[in-house]
Amino acid sequence: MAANTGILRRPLAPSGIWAWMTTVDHKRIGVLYGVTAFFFFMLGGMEALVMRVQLASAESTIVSATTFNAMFTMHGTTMVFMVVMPAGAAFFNFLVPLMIGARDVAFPRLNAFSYWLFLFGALLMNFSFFMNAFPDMGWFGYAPLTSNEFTISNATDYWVLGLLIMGIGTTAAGFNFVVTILNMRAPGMTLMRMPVFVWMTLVVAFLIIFAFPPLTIALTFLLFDRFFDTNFFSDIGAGSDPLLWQHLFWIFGHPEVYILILPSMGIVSDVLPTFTRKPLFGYTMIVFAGAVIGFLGFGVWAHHMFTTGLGPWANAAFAATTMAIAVPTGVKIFNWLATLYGGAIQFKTPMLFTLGFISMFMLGGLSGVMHAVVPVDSQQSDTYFIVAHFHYVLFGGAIFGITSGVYYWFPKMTGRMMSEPIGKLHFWLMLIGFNLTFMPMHILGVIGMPRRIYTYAEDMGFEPLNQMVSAGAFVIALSIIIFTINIVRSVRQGEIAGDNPWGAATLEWSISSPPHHYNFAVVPTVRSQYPLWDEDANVVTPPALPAHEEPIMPDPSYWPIVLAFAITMVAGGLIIWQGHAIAGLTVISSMGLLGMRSIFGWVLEPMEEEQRVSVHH
Amino acid sequence: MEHLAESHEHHPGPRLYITVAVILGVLTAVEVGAFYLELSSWIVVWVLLLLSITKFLMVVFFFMHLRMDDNRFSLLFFVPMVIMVSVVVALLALFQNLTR
Amino acid sequence: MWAFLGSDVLFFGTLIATHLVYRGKSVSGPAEGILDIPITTISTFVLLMSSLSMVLALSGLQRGKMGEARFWLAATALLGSVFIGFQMFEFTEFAKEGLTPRTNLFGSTFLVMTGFHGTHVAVGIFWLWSLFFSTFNGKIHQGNALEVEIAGLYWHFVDIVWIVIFGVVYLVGAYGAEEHVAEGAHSAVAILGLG
Repeated sequence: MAANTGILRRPLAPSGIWAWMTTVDHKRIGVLYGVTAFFFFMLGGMEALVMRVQLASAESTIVSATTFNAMFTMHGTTMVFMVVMPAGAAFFNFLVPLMIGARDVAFPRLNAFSYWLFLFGALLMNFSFFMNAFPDMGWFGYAPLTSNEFTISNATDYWVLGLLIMGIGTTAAGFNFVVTILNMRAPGMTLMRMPVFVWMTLVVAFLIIFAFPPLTIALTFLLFDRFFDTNFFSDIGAGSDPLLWQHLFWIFGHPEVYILILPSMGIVSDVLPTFTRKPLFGYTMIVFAGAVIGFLGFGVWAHHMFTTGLGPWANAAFAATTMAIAVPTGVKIFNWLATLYGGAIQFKTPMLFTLGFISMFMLGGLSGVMHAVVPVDSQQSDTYFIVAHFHYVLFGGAIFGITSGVYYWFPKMTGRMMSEPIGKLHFWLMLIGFNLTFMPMHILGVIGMPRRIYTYAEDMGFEPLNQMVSAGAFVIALSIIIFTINIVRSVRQGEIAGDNPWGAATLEWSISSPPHHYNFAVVPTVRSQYPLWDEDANVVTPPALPAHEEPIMPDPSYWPIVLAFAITMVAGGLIIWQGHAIAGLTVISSMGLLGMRSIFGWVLEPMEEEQRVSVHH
Repeated sequence: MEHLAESHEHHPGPRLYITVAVILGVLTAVEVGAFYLELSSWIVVWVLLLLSITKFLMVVFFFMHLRMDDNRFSLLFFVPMVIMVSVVVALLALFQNLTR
Repeated sequence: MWAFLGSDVLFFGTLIATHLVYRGKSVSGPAEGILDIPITTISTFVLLMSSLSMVLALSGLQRGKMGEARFWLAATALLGSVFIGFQMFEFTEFAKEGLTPRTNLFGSTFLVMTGFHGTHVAVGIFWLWSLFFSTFNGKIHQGNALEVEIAGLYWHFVDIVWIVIFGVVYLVGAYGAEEHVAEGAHSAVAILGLG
């Protein structure tokens, strides 16, 4: 009999909606993150298209200024927090245990909890659209625009609370992956034998747990300013300094961009060896460079504030650290290029996107180094030049890298190959569309087009380039439609993949596609960085275990989703409280009690039920 | 978390802990005493900072057992400390500049 | 838990940093002068002793002495509650003297910072009582002393955060008022070659 710690029985069935809602299996959680991220990618993309339609012609009146502001705010917030980060999480979740020879993460229920918090936080923030309070203060929420004085609607509240909820989930995932990677590696897998992707996940997990607290505090201060009239940012007369918000936000914000890019760097580092048929050049340097980038990332934040009057000493110090951080990045690029040199390159779709990543990210890095020069940045700041830079690194970098990962690991996740011809079409359309969209922005920035404007005068000379940009955006949209078609088609009728269709070297390719829920029938012993390329590697995948010999795996649980729901509703209750005090307090207290009950239920519930008699591995 | 935590064989007895607690009490008394003495503010501030750091480290190393645990735990704790202290010092410097 | 504590270092560090950055900038209302050092010394001492009782509880459990473990767990929770009592007293006194989170920068930063600390202590007390009751129904015993050790790490962390707050915010802060801290910070900055 299952030990029930709640009113409902513990769910133990392996399929159906309830199974997905209560899953603690890292592979399913990875799929949930991936599908959700893809959905929000479409949403963020549409927000971008609205902007591009509006900006395609001078003095356009297709959307109002307020709507436009909401579009750039939510496009940014969505892409950063609801697309790139969860896409990274999708990969960490699915792959890390497989790559280190483990059966799941260290804290499976916490893992599920992280996902549900992400989903519910994202839904809460987007719910504001239906309440006519869509956030429109910029994705970085600068004070004092976000104070009660200047933002009367609830838009900022939805934004702050949505981010806080998503942030808790992300931070919890950070803890989970630090512990998993440090503690659960298979015998023989020393830290220096892990795939680079796992190393990058480790660095990202540390960045998450150290960078999110300052954001949490900043958001909390803002929340208190808005709800309880405190004086952190909002009361200039009382001495509040709006710059404090900028500092706190960017102390988080800069490590955040490394959180966004390092997973893709990891993906690329693992795709390259497979399609060049040789080991990664300079594994140690790449790993080390990744760790250095993570650490130095905490020392460059004020380069987002060069135009705020920090003074020459501060500017110089941060300019120096920003230039320094280009060095480890450059080291990685050289190492990737060296891996290509002399390799037997196979131009399959994952490789095309990886090559796209390396080249596009490099361009973005170059414009980034330009920003490090303070006087030049004073010209570029708040113009489209900056927009060009970060889209080259985030789209050309992170998105291309993630797409490469999707094409590479899709066979492992689903057991089927994606279509090569459609994949190549997707790649070329996306590459052309991407460059058509963002290359002209460099020029637009230099000739003076500011950011975050909803229209521009006819005689500014911005129109021709803007038309090109908007056209490019639709080409990107077309490429994404093609991508979607590829995914849907391949899931249903793609060629059967087999266990190691690419002939790759790392542990996840030594088991079936898709893997059994227990991952490894026998926990492998690892003797090198490329276990499947070892001379004595056993490349025959073991057959599935009979049911009574399967290792005991953690059982599903509904506490993660219930607790995530309770926390989100408490946040919702806070918003309700602003308008209707009694209703708000009722929601807060009842949901608070549900939350507390969930914590007890969770803690007292054993990870797996005892009723099966089975043999451990 | 399990196998890293089992790296120590014997647990110190109550005596060590009581000794540490007495020292902590004495240090606190010295801190408060320094506060009330009429010394140059320089000396007092530095005494207070150093004593606080000492107390902090004693609790971390003895009560939290870090001295006898795997080095990775020390890393997990002190790396963020270094980051935090640097950020605090940088922020203080930045905000001093603003009021000049 | 160590990973969590590393993260919490950043959390409290940011709170303390904000308070320090806003030091001396309150335009009106009470500031450091309102702090009551004698009373806070007592509460600090209470919290320090609760760390002792915590580690004695763990030691008892590790040696299989259930009675000792229970006694010291309860003692820790009670000492923690005494600390909270002192905090509540302090906050209500401040409110009477006109200092609330809304009053000025000092009020906002100080009360939010110590408020979060107090909340951490309260969560700890809750956790300790749960452990205490679990020693009676066999859920906590010598074999899983690690559970108490982890709670202990959390509890000691909350204590060391207070050591920093007491030393830096109360003592350094209230010593002869604002300009001394600005000097102290200046000297720290100068010595480190910045500014």
